[in-house]
Amino acid sequence: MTKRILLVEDTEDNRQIVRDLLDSAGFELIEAHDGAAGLAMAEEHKPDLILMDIQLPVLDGYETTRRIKADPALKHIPIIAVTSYALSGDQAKTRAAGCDDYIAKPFSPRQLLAKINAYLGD
Amino acid sequence: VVPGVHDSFALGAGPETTGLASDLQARDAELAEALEYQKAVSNVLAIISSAPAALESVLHDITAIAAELCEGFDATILLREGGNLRVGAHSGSIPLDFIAKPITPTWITGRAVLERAPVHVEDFSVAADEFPEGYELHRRHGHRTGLAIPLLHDGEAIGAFMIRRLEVRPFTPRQIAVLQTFADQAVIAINNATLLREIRQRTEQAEEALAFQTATSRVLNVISRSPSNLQPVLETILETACDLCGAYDGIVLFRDKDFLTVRAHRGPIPVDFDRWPLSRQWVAGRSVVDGVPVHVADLTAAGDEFPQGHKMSLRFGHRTILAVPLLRGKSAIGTLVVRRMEVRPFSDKQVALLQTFADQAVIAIENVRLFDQVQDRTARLQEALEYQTATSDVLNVISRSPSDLQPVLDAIVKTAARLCSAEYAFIARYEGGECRLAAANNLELAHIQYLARHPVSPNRDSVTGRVALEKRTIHVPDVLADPEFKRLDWQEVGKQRTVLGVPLLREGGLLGVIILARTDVQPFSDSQIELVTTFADQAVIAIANFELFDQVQARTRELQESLDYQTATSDVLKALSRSAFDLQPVLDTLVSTAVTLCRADKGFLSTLFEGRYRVQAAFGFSQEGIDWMRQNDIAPDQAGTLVGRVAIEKQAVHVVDVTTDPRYTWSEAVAAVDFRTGLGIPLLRDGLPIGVLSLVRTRPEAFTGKQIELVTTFADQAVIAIENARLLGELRAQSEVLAASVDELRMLGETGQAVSSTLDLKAVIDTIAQRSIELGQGHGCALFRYDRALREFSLWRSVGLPEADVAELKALRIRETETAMGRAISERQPISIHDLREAPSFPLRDATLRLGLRSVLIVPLLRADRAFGALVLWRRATGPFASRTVDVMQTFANQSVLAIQNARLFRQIEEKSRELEVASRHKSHFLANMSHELRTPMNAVLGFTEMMADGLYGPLPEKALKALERVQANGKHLLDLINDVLDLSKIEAGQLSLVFEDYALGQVVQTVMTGTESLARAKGLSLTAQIEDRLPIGRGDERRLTQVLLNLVGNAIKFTSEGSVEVTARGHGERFEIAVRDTGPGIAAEDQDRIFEEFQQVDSSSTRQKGGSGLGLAISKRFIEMHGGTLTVQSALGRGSTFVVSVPIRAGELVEAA
Repeated sequence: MTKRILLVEDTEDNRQIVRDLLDSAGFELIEAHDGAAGLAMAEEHKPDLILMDIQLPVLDGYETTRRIKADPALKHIPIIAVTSYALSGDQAKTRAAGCDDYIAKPFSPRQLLAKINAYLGD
Repeated sequence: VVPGVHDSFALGAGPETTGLASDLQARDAELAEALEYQKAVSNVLAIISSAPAALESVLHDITAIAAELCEGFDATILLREGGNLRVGAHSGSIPLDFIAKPITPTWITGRAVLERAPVHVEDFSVAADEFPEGYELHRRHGHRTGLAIPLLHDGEAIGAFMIRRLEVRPFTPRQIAVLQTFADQAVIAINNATLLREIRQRTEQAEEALAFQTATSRVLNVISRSPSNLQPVLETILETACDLCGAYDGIVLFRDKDFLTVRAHRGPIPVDFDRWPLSRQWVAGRSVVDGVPVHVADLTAAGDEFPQGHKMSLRFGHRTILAVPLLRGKSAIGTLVVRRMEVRPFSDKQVALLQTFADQAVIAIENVRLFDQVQDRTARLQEALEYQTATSDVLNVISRSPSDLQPVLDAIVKTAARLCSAEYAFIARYEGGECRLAAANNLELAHIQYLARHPVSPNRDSVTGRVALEKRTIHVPDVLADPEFKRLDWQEVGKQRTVLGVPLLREGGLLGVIILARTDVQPFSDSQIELVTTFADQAVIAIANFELFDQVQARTRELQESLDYQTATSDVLKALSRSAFDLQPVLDTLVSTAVTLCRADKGFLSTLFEGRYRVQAAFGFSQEGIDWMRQNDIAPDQAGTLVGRVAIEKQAVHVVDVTTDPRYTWSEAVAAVDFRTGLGIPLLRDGLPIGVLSLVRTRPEAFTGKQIELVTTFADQAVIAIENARLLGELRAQSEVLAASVDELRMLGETGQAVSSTLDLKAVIDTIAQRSIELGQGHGCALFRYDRALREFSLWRSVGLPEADVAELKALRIRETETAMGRAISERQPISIHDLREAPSFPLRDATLRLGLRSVLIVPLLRADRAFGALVLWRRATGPFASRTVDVMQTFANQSVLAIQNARLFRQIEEKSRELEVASRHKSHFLANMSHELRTPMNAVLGFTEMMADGLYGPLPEKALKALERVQANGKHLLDLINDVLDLSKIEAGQLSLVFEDYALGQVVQTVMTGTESLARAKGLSLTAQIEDRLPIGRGDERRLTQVLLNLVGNAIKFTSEGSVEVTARGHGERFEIAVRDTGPGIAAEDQDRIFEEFQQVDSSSTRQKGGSGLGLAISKRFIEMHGGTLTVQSALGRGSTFVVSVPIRAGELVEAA
C-alpha cells in the first residue's frame, strides 16, 4: 500500500524538490503551506509521516508539532523537522517540541529519502 | 559457544520405523550408562571424604575414574598458579610433556579458564588456526578430540579438567555433564585441602602463641611475686628462655663499669669467669657495646670477628650463640645469652622472643632498683622529717619570742636532749672568759647549783672547757676513760659518762657551749652530732636575734622618721604626676608639705618672672600677708632680704633670728609677715636660681640639718615640676600644630582618594568644597565654570550656601569683567579680597554680601593654557587668608581640574564602548540572519542539482552532467562559506559554547582519516596516521575537535600536490598533541601569523585555485583556544608544513571549573 507523506513547507521551490523526489520514489505526497493547514491536513488525512518546516506562517513548526503530538489519534505519526535554523540548540528544540527526527537545510535529497525510508521502509 | 559439540542423542535417535524393541534397547543402555556414572560419582565422593588431606592422590583418582568412565585416553587436572596452569594430576596413556603452561586462548584448557566455559574440540588436526598451541600438542602426541572444563570456585576459574582422545570422537553431552560433575568434585577436594591446610596452620600458630603467652606470664608472675629479689626472676627468665628457644644453656650478665658480671646461669655449658672485660671481642660484650642483638651461627668459625668468644667456644664446645642486650633507655645494662652445642641458628621468632625476655629482665631489674631506692628514701625521709619537726619547733619558739632569749635556749636543750636520747643537756654562755649556765634540761638542782658555783674556764679539764678552748665539737665516749678529764667532782654531781659538746660560734667568736650527756657509756651517732650542731647554730641565731632586737628597735624609730619624709616626698610626687599640666597644685602641695614636715609656721615659693621674684605659692599666711608679698616683688640683687640673699648666694640661707642677724635689713617684711626664723632654699636650674622656697617661724628656732636637707629635696622637686610644666606646655603647643597638619594631610589624602576612586564628578567636587570649608575655616565654597566663548562664569556646584540662594546664584551670568575670578584666570594665580564691602559692586559681589559673607579666596582652575573656572572660598569674617589655606586651596584646585578631566575622558570612553557594543551586536545578528536567509535558496540550488545529477529528471548528456558537477561543487563551496561565517559570528557573539564529553582521540583521528581518504587517493597522496597506544580518554567537544582536524587534514591535502600527509596523535604530559604534517609548498615565516586571521590565505590566487573560505584556520584556532589549547604551525617555503594542535586531555574540566 502506498505510504502517504504530509509536507508542511511555505517555499514553493522546496516543495517542488520534495514533490519530485517522493514522486519518483513512489510515495503519495500531500502538501500544506502553513502550520494551521498542516495541522488540519494531519487530522483529516492521517499521513504515515510528516515533514515539518520550522519557520512557517500562522503557526510555526514547533507549535504545529506540539499540537499534533498532543492529539492521541495523531501522536504516533513520525515527524521529521526540516529547518534552516542552524543555531546551536535547534536540534534540541525540535526534539523538545516532539519531533522524532531532524534534517538541516540545505539537505541532500538522497539523505532525506534515506531518512524517510528508515521510518517507512519495510 | 562450544565449537564442535554435537548432540549425540539427537544423532543416535533412529528413524521412526525402528520400533519399540530398539527403543527399549536404547533405554536399557541409557540406564546402564546412568548407573555406571552414578557409581563413579559416589566412588569419587567416597575418596574425597576418606582422605581430605591427600589432595594429589584424590585428584589422581578423579582423573583415573574420569578417563575410564568417559572413554578418554587420558585425563588431567590443571591448577591455576598466577598466569600459568600447573599439572595437578594426570592419568592415562597420552604423554604430558609440560609441568606448567601460560594461560592463553591458544590451547583449549587456557581458553576454558579464560572464558570460564567448557571448550570442546572435535578434531585438533583441523584446529591449527583457532588453537595453535593445542595444535602443537596434537602434533607431538597425536590426540585428536579434546575437552576442557574449567574448575569454577565462586565464579573464578581455579584450574581446569582436560580429557583427550586419540581418535576423532566427540564427547557426548552426558559425558560432558559427568565430567562437569567431576570438575565440581575436584573443586570441592581442592577447597577442602586448602581449608584443612589453613586450619592446620592456624592451629600451629595458635599453639605457638599460647606457649609464648604462658612463658611470658610465668615470668611476669615471678616479677610481681618478688619485687625486691632479682635472682628468682632472672632464673625463671633463663629457664623459660632456654625452654622456648630450644637452647641448652643461658646466662644473664650485668654491666659493671668496664666489665660484664655473671648474674645467673642455667645449663650444662660451663662459665669459667665471674666477670670479664667489656669489649666487642666476644658476643655478649658486643651486644652490650652495640646495644643490638648479636647472633653467631657457628662460633668456632668466627675467630676473626670474636677472638675472645672463639676461645671460649673452643674450651666448652658451644657453637651457636645469641646475645640480646638488656636495654634501659638507649644504654645496655647487661645482656641475655643463650647457647647451643650444635650449629643451629635461632629463628627470627626465637630472637624476638628472647628480646621480650630481655625487656622483662630490664623491668625486673628496674623494679628491684626502684624498690630499694624507695625503701632507702623512706627511711631517710622519716629521719629528716623528725629533725625537721624538731628544728621547726625551735624556730617556732624563736619567732614567738624575739625579745626573749630564755624560752629559745630552753626549747633547744629540751629538744636536743630528747632527739639525741641524752640524759640531760644544757647551754652555757661564754662571757668574760667563763662559761655560765644559761639553759638546762633535766638537770638536778644540785648540778645547777654546782655549775653556778663553778663557772668553767676554757681548758682541757672538762668537755665544756675543752669545747670553749678549741671552739670545736668534742665527743667523749666515756669521761672516766678520758685521760685529760680532771673534773671528777663535777662527774660526781652530774654522773655523766658519754659527753658531747658543741660550741656556739658567731663569726669565729665563742658565744657559748651546748652539752649533751649520758650517764652510761653510749656514744652519740654521727647524725645526732650533726643535729646538735644544727641546734647550736639555732642557738647562735637566737642569741644574735636577741642582740639585734635592741638595735632594731632603735633603728625602727629612725626609720619611722625617714618614712614620714618619704611619704611626704611621695605625696609631692603624686601631686606632680597627678597634675602634670597644672603647676599650681604641685607648688601648693610642695609648700604646705614642707611647712608641715619641718614644723615651720609659714612658707612660700617665689619664682623669677620678668626679672623679679614673685610669690607663686604660699601656705600659712593671712590673705593680707599674701597681698603684701604680691605687691612687693623682690629684685635678685636685694641682699638685705632672705629671697634676695638666696638668689645672690645660690645656696641655702638660714637666718635663725631676723632681729639679731645684721645682714637681714628688711624690717617692713618682718612687720608685715610676722616671722623670726627664716630658711631660704634656691630653685636651681642649670646653676641659675629660677626661684626660692622659703620657710619661716614666728618664734626664733633654728631648723635642723635634716629639715634643711628635706627642704632642699622639695626645692629640687619644685624645679622638676616647673620644668615639666614648661616642657609640657611646649609639647602641647607643638602637638597642636602637628595635629593640625595631620588633619590637613588626612583631608588632602581623602580628597585625592575621592578624585581617584570615583568618576562621579559632582561627588568629587562636593567633597573638595566640603574639605575646603573645613580646612580653610570658611563658610561657603563653590566651583564656577568658565565659558571661553561667552567669556562668562556660572556657578556649578556649591557647599555651605542656602539652597534658595544657590538657585539665584546659578541663574547669574557673570561676565569675566564683573568678577575677580576674571582677574585670577588672566593672572593665573589666587586672589583674595579681605573685605568684600570695599570691592566694587557687581551682581555676584552684592549677592554674596547679602548672604553675610565678607571675605573671599579665589583659585583659578587651570590646565596648560586652558582655564576651566575657579574654586571660591568665602568667609563671614573679614581679613587675610593664611598662606597655608591658600596652599591647600591650590592643591584642591589642581585636584578639581584633574577630576574634571578624568570625568571627561571617562565619558568619552563610555560612549565609545557603548557604540562599539551596539555595532558588534548588529554585526552578529546580521551575520546570523544572513546565514539563515542564504540557506533557504541554497536548499533549492543544491537539491535540484543533486536530483538532476541522479537522473531523477531523465538522462542528461555528458556535457550537461559535467556542468552540473561544477554547479554542485560551487554550491557546496558557497555553503561552506556560509557555515564558516555563521560559526565565526557565533564565536564572536559568544553564542557558541562547547559541549564537553568524554572522547577517544584515536576514534576522532580515525573518523577524520575515513573522511579524507578519498580526497587523498584522488590526488595520489599517501595519507597515514600514527596513534600512540593506550591514549587516555579525553574530555572536550568531540564534534569541534573533529571539525578542526578535518580542516587541517583537508587543507594539507588541498595544498599538497605530491608526497604525503601524515597525522600523529600522542599524549604529552597533561596534553594531547596532534600534528598534521604535509609535503606541500610550505608557508613563509612572515605569513605564518596571518594565516590564522579571517579571510587570509597565503595569497588570494591560491584561494581561487584551491577553494575554501579562508575562515577554516581562524575558526579552528578559536575552537582550540576555547579548549584551553594552542594551534601552531612550523613551516618553511619548500619544506612542507606541520600544524600542531595541543589541547588539555581533560579540557572540559578546566573550562567548566573556571
